[in-house]
Amino acid sequence: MRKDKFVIFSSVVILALLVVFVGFPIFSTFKLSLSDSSGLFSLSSYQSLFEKPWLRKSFFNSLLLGSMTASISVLVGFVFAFVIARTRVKGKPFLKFMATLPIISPPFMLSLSVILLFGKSGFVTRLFGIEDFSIYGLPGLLLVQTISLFPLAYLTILGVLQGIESSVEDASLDLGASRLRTFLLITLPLSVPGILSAWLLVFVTSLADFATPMLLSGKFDVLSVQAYLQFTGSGNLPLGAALSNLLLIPCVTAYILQKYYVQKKSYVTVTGKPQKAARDLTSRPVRIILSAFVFGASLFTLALYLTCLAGCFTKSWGIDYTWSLENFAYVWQVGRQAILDTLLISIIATPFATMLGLLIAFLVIRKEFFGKRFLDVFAMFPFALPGTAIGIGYVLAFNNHPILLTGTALIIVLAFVFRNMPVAIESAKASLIQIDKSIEEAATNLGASTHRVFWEITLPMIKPAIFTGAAYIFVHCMTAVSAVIFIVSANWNHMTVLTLNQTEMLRFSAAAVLCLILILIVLAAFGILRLIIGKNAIAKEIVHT
Amino acid sequence: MAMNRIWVAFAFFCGLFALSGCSKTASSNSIAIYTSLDESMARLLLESFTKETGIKVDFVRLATGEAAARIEAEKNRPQAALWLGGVGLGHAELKAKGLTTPYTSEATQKIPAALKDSEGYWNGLYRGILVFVTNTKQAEARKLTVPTSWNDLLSPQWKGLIQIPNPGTSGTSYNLITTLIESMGEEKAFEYLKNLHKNISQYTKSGAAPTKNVALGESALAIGYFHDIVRLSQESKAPLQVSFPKEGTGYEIAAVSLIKNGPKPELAGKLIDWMYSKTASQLLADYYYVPVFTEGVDLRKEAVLPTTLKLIDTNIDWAGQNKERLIDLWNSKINT
Repeated sequence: MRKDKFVIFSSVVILALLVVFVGFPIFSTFKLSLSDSSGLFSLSSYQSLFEKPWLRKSFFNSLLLGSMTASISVLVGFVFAFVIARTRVKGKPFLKFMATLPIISPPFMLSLSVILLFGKSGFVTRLFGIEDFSIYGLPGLLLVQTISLFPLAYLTILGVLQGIESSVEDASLDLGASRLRTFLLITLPLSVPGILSAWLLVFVTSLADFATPMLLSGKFDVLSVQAYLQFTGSGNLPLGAALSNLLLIPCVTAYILQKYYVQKKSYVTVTGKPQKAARDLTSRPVRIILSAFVFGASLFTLALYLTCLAGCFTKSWGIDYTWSLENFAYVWQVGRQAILDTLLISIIATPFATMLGLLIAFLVIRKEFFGKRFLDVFAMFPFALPGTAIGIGYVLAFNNHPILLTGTALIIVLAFVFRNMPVAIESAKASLIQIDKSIEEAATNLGASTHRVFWEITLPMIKPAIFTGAAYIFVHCMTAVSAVIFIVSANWNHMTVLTLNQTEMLRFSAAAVLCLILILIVLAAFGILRLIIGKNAIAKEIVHT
Repeated sequence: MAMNRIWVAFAFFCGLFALSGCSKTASSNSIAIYTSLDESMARLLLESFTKETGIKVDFVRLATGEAAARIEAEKNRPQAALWLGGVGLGHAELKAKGLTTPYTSEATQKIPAALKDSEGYWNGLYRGILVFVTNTKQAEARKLTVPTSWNDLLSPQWKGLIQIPNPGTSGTSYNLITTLIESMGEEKAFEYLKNLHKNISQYTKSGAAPTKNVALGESALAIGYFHDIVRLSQESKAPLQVSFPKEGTGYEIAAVSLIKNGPKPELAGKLIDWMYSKTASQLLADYYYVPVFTEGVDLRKEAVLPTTLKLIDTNIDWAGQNKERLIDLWNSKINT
């Protein structure tokens, strides 16, 4: 077989990049966690983790929160997915919109709204004179995380439900089984891989969540925040690194379980055959109950967004509710540099992440070469990592020669590129799998080099996937916080970090304005995406990402 | 051909990519700094500085701990010229880690010895006095009396109504612990803190949050810095009352340090000198601080401390050396 120069060259280059920008930071974190403050080898950080009860507690709290959030989110997500895919409920566009909005929202928006409404001086708290209840801690965290993360469960389960051939259920109904029986014995069992997959996905995301606990955790310490506090607040870098590594373990485990075990058991096939419209599996009373639930949840979520919007226009929420535009002026003065920085960095990082991801997907799906499996796994690895681990890793790896990048924009761009590249890889892979090889093979047979095939044949065919992947990468860059908070500097700031600062200074209205600006930018990006590739293409792609 | 356009676009992005590796304040007359001063105060001061000297200042506002961590992370390639504000202890820690450079000039020579580092590594800007702040509306509704002694805080009437910062992350709170130790000895101090824990609703991450929470009504009582509280109470409509512990109270010295190998130290030096000018001192005083040099400066009458107030001194070096041990102790004994 002729050695394909393009393949060898690109795979080697990509591998080198991955080793430097993914492997090296992880390695640096491990190295630091195994040393003490003077740099000598020491297990003291890990000892502390086991010995000190408050650190053990934060680990268990994280696991508890993750499990509870995952369980509730899967329940909510399943109901939403079921209503959309298997019932005749009206108003589905609204439901679909509300079920995906939290994914593209700024990280602090929902927490902020919850504080504005249910905090000690919150609007609802004051209105009803509620005295002894505190939203801080597990209640608030569960509420916000569930709303933020159930879309992940919803999308995963929706994909699975839509992939189940309705003819199986039809057969059951035709044979005389009741709707309930069909649901319990056919639909539900077939959805199990999707449900498990969703549970693990939400679990990992909850563990890695930094933004929500930063605002709402109260006395309920979680690992992601502890790692940050030890690293920055207390200046105990080895302990922060150790905590970050501890966080890695459940995240990576759950990710591996989800990707290589659960997904393999999927009972869905993508045959490309047109789907028959699914029969409604619910009777009227059931449909009413389910509708009430999903609409209720959607309206509550909408109310939270509107609260944030209202917060932008009040002088000082909690103290002075008069209408005012001064927060906009304040944010323009204080935040415009951060807004521009965030946009610039995200706009630079997105095409690189997309192209790199695309190239990797192409190599992995279409080509055979030495080390392919390894490249595949290694390139997807950043997906499994909590942002905290990446942030700490990048600070440790790149604040020394030979690669000295702390304080520059480049370090943020690189972190974004390698962190979010897996999104493009997933998107492109899903698309490539569905396209028959024969078109590309025809081009090769006619004499085109691999390089040419990639640019002129493959790329145009998977355009929707590319653009959707790019849009999601852009959103992730704009809304990143847990990685970014370690690598911003005097010269380059990020909107999310600024929002956190404002919230810590209790300038809730200013924080609300920043959230508003961020979500408008993100919606604009999706609007542009829609214009480029059309409505239906997006619906398909969203399921894949 | 489509290919050429793609290469051009690619080259363009490579250019942008490389550009992002460059520094922003490459222009000659501007510096970048980290500040732990209150953000609006910093903005006012630095804008005034720019107006007078023409030197532009890009700043990032970070809490004391975060600023120290950022400076340490960047030590091989410092991005900021100096650290303005922030608890003196933080500056002393950076000195111990070799991350700052001494700065002395005509202006700093005149600073009283008690308000600066003996070797010039940090220079004090103002004193922050620890006091109690109560939300009078809440106090009235719950029939609480404004505290005038440390022991008052232990009374069960305050259960769940007090907020203080977490000493692990807040200089303010660690200052509280060292003051208590200085005042009653380590064992009694920790006993006090354990009893106080019963009345605490939340240990906040930032030092300023408890005070702001009291203003918002999220909490009834907090411990914070006098100047912050007085300013908040004068500027907002919040029902706040300050009170002082009769046994005496502790204080911090907010300072400024030059970062070692930071960019443009000469311009940074100009900023440090300017902080002791009449303009800067008056701006600080307008903001309810008591600056180092008060001659010819109009202090706010609300910002003047009662003459009967006893100040408890802590040894900054001792505080720095024992920080890890004491925070550990606090976490294991109290934060369970």
